[in-house]
Amino acid sequence: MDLKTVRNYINDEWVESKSREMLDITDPATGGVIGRVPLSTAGEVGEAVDAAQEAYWDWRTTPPVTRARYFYKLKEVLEDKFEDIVKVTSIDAGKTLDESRAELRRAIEMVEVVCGIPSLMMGDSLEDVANNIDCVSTRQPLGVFAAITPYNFPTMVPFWFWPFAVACGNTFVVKPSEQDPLTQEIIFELIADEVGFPPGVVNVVNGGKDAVSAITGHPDIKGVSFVGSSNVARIVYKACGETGKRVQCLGGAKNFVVVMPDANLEATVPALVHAAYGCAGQRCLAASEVIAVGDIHKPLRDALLAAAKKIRVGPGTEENIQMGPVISPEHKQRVLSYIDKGVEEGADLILDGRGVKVEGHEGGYFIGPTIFDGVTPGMTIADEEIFGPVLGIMKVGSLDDAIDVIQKNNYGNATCIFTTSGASAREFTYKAECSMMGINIGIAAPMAFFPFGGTKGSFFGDIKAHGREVIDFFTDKKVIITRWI
Amino acid sequence: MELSAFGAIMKFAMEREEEIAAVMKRIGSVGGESFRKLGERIAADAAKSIKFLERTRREHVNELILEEPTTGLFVDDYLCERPPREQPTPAEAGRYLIDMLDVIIRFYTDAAAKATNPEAARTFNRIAKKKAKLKASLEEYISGLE
Repeated sequence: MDLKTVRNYINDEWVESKSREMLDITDPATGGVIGRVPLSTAGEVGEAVDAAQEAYWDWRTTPPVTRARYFYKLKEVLEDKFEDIVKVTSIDAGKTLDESRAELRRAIEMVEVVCGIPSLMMGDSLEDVANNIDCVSTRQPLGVFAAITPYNFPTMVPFWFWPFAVACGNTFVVKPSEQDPLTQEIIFELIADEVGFPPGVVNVVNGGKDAVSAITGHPDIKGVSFVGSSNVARIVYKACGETGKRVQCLGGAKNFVVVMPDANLEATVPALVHAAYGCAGQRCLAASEVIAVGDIHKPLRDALLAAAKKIRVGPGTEENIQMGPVISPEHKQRVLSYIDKGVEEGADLILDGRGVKVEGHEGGYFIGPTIFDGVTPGMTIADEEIFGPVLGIMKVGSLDDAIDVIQKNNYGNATCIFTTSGASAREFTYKAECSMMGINIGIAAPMAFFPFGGTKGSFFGDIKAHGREVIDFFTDKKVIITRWI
Repeated sequence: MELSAFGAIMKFAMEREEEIAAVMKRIGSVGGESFRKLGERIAADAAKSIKFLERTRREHVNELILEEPTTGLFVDDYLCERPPREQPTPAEAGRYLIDMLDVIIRFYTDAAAKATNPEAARTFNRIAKKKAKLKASLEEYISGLE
């Protein structure tokens, strides 16, 4: 890949940032520099918002069926260039090729859903709400929206938001993660060249903290979608509230997986291993803590250990690799310090991924699959999000004890149960306070036509990402009451 | 090497199809008109299969079950050992192609049985069925020569 400096895409033009501050973009599998990203200024965010504002009225008055056709074209382009995008993502984010394929597929599924925007945007009506008076409610777009998206799904997460917003008639500014912006660069090059949205309808500004502050503080932005850590989610939520914006902030997670004594281990273990180590554990749906109920603890622990040891760690760009590196040296250090902390606090490190070596990729940010047994609530590794390939195992006596552990954790993103008992599954889904739940499945990731988001410390806002209800986030429901005289 | 990742299995299948197309290019002209036409059908089927496999890889990679690995598929079990010599007779070329098709049919059948993704299994079964028809045509051609 050529060394490139990513640009901003504003008003259908590729613009070099005037910022003097740049960050290196590195290939997580080698540590080598593959590009540079500007930390765009508040002024540059303002230019993108101005372009979006300027484009708004014409786009808003474009019939929904016409707007939908841009998305049919977008789907075609993404399908056509599928493997080209996948390769960039695998280098940019260090993911395996299959992981990159899966997230691009998810992005395309978002586009497929918004192709139905004429139906999704329809309002309601009722004749004779009073004598000779009818009432109609209609959904109208609001103006300029923005999304601030994370590094762990550089392809998919921007697509959770902007296609829905733009299909509704809004205009948009995307700020991708500064850690892996090359994926959105290639996608928007395709959009610019082959889809051709009218100038200003969708814009990309690269940057860091200053760009985020410029977005949350900008008076012309009507709403912000954010995905990232809970700490930053709280800050964005508050800042947007202060400027009267709509806001949906998806934060971090600590996802517990309950394994009941009656679980089918043969099916449970592969699903769990995938849930724990997929994307090197860098996903808000990663299984980070297994709660083994009763006697299943020992056979489960042994099977997990055996399966985790077999995982092939290496550069994601090589087919047949099962786990790639983490995103950066800083993040690797953070994960390693959690492992050290687990040891210090007395958990039993039964698989240590700290010393993993990948031949020919000595500069890569690799951590091998890691397992702690004997984890108890109150330990740092039990309570906090690690966001790496580290799995903890706890042992409890009953389903109630397992649910109690989940309820007491600050996060409430996702949780799963493995059981062959309908009663246990029902009790679990009824009581556990998490918004995304799996029964005999490790990754409870809602698809494009369902809402995505957590509760408690994992989500700040009320309307979640994608699904039918995100249309409510991106539109105002206007009610028109008419007397026919 | 074990093929456990979805993309690795699909890539291996595509490489085998490319191999069939390449062999056909090399030996497709050794026989008469009927062998040439049969060869064209085999090469066209390989090209079509690659497109079908690409589409399956693109559309049916599902994050929910992505890395629940497939087990028991080993590359070495599905490689053709004996390349045809430079100028094979029509019978030699035909027999070699039958061997190649045999191996790839066995690969698709095994992969379909082991695949964690039902859409991938359908794709493998469909391609295997087409290859079996081509193999039967080749066998008929060879028996005509003997």
